[in-house]
Amino acid sequence: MQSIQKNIKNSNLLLEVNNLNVFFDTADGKIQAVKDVNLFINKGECLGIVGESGSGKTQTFFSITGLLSSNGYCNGSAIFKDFDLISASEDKKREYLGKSIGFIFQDPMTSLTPHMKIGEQLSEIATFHDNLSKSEALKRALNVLDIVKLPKSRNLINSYPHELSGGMKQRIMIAISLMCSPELIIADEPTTALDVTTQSEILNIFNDLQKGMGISIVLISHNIGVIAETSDRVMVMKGGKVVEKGSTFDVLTSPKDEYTKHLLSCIPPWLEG
Amino acid sequence: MNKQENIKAIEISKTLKGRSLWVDARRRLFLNKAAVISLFTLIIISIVSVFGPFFLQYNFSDTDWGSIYQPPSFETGHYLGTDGNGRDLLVRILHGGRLSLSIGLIATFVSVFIGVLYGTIAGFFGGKLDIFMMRIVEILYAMPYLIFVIILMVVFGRNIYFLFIAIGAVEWLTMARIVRGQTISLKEKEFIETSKALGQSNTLIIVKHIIPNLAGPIIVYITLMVPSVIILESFLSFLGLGVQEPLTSWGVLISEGSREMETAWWLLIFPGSFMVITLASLNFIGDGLRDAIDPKEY
Amino acid sequence: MKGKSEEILSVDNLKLYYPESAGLFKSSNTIKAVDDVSFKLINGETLGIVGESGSGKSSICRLILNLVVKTSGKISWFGNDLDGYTKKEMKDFRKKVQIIFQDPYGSLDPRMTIGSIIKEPLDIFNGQLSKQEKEEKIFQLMNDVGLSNDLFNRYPHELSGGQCQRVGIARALINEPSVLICDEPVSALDLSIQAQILDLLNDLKSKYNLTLIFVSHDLSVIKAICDKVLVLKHGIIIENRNTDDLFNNPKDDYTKKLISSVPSPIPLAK
Repeated sequence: MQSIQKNIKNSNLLLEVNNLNVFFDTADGKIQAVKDVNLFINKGECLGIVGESGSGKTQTFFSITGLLSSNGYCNGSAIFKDFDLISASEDKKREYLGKSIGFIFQDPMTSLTPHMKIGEQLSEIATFHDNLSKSEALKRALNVLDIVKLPKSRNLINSYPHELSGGMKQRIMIAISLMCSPELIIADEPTTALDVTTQSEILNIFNDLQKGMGISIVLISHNIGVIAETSDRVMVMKGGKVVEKGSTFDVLTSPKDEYTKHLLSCIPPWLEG
Repeated sequence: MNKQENIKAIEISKTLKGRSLWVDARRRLFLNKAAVISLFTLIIISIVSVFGPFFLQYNFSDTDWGSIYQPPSFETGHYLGTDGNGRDLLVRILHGGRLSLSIGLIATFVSVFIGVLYGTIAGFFGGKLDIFMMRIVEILYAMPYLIFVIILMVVFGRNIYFLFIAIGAVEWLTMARIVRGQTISLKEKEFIETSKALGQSNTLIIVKHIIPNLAGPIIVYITLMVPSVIILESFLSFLGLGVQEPLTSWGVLISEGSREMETAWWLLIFPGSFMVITLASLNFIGDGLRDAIDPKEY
Repeated sequence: MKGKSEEILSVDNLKLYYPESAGLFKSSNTIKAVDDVSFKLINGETLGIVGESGSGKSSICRLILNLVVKTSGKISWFGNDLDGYTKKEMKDFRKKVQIIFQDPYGSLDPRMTIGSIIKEPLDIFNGQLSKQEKEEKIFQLMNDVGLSNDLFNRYPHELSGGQCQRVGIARALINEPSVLICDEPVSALDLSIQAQILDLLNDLKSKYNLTLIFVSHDLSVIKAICDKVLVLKHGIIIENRNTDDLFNNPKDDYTKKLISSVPSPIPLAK
């Protein structure tokens, strides 16, 4: 049933991950952080990944994008548009990461290079991947700042990260990932460190990117509310395994797995509607 | 659970020991081959320096005008040769080792003691006290150290104890600065705030919470300070300001040896080697300790 | 003997101003972390303080405990101005008003065992108790907060975040304070652990007859456990009302914006 669905959606399929396992060599022996994970993402959809700490949600996507730490290794396949990211060489991986796949980290405070101006950080990625000249890159940067609803001012381009608020920094992170027109953006707890009003604005931006620009989004969060408001489908992870997956509405309103039910019961009751 | 069972359960719980951070650090240290080898080397050199002379036939101050400038030989019993006064080099190196190592340890200990006290007070209380205390440190730093030592030596004579004081009096400045910096960053941590909120007195906060948490960086700096103290002492001895005859240190031996280098190479090579091996070992141990106490994997 | 609705803590016109560090050519600005805040704490209630970053909510906690020196204003405990307190009276105040912080690992000294951490307040205020009596109390508290006895000799890094937070609570409650200030106590914890700790705090509140001040940026948590809520923005109190009133009928635009920004965990049907 599932494979038929996938076949029908084949022209829409952007990323397909099969039998993904991630291991770490630590002082306490070999630890398996991700156990036999399968998932797929279609073009233009938002997949939410819910889990608590230690669930493996971050390591799953670190392994696909080659961001695992040096003591980690993985096996399985992660096919991104006919290309297996896991078995690819470092150089090939680098071609995809930053260009077709954007990654947004949790902490905007430490994700930006402190000694480089914002304008430079934005253009750097375009000059590297697309070989644009500096002025062309800057022009693209101004476009992208529009998308994330930041003022196109000279002040912003010339300022340093520490002069910006957390919310602005996260928008810059999103802007940087947009510079090379990615097809997939993976956002790892992008709003956890932000105030609730800023969070709401950032989530709106993700919605615009998905619905307005057709970019697929993977949104990793432990906040069920964030997932509910943004994701079309959701995957619940625990202990490295996927315990439940399906459409957001189905999973959150009629959960089947015990853990999912338990997790949902822990949310303090919020307002109706 | 009735009261009896409760008490028994508690007794059993108390026997379960946790895995403290020191145990973790020790395990990481012993995985570092260079550090372990250096530790062994250092221990061997120390033991040999302290006990070795008792097993050798020659005394460090016995002169023997019939055997001056003898190259190393097994038959004569002068395994590493003799110097210009016919004194056995090996015995003198071991005695020198005793002195250099003990100066290294004692002067470092003195400077650590003063430095920690000074640094934690300045860092913890901050404000004007901190500014005042650190100005003093900066002024002392700026003073020409060598002239200070020379004056001390001239006024009080070349007494070995003043050598300790002179060296300790300079090294504490570095320790005070390091400790102050660490204290300032520790002070911001929540468990220190909590202690204050609990009503703990400032003195006890410093003693119970700040100093034990400084121990890591302090230990690392100690292992790096000992070599620098030994070099300092050697430098002074090399200039002729160090220990007096017949006492000797590696610095003195190297100083003498360098003068005789062309005719009696053993007088320079052997003391020099002992010194280099000891200092290298201390540095490897220091690096190993730093990696063990402050791992960057996590 | 405390009356049921007696006012136990009173904050009047509290201000915390400090100069922003001036550059060589910039003139120094004044940062108003807490700007003329006044409120009362009633015995037995759970008072919520909600705000975003920079609202001053954490500063208020530290000001009440005198961990940070206020610029001006008055804090009164049972009607007595804290400024007039002697050292001994201040120490007594600290016994009655305790705090737990956000970072479960940061609040515990990494070099001390759990047992010694919980014992510290006993040594400060009840030094006369015998070793046996102290240990009994420690184990009793560990039991109350749901920590197994085995953890007595363990170190913070060997415990989970939730367990560490329980240690912090045990330490705060061992001398039976009247008020417990909770500064974002569950923000750094996983969702299921959050729920456990919130339940624990509720249980302990009735068991120890506590009055709670609960600071958080998470409106859903505030709504779940607080009786009254102060909404703070840039150091100023925007609203000060009963929880139900506030959430059903928010008056200020900022409050409305805050409430509408919270993402609802109930998805819209697609």
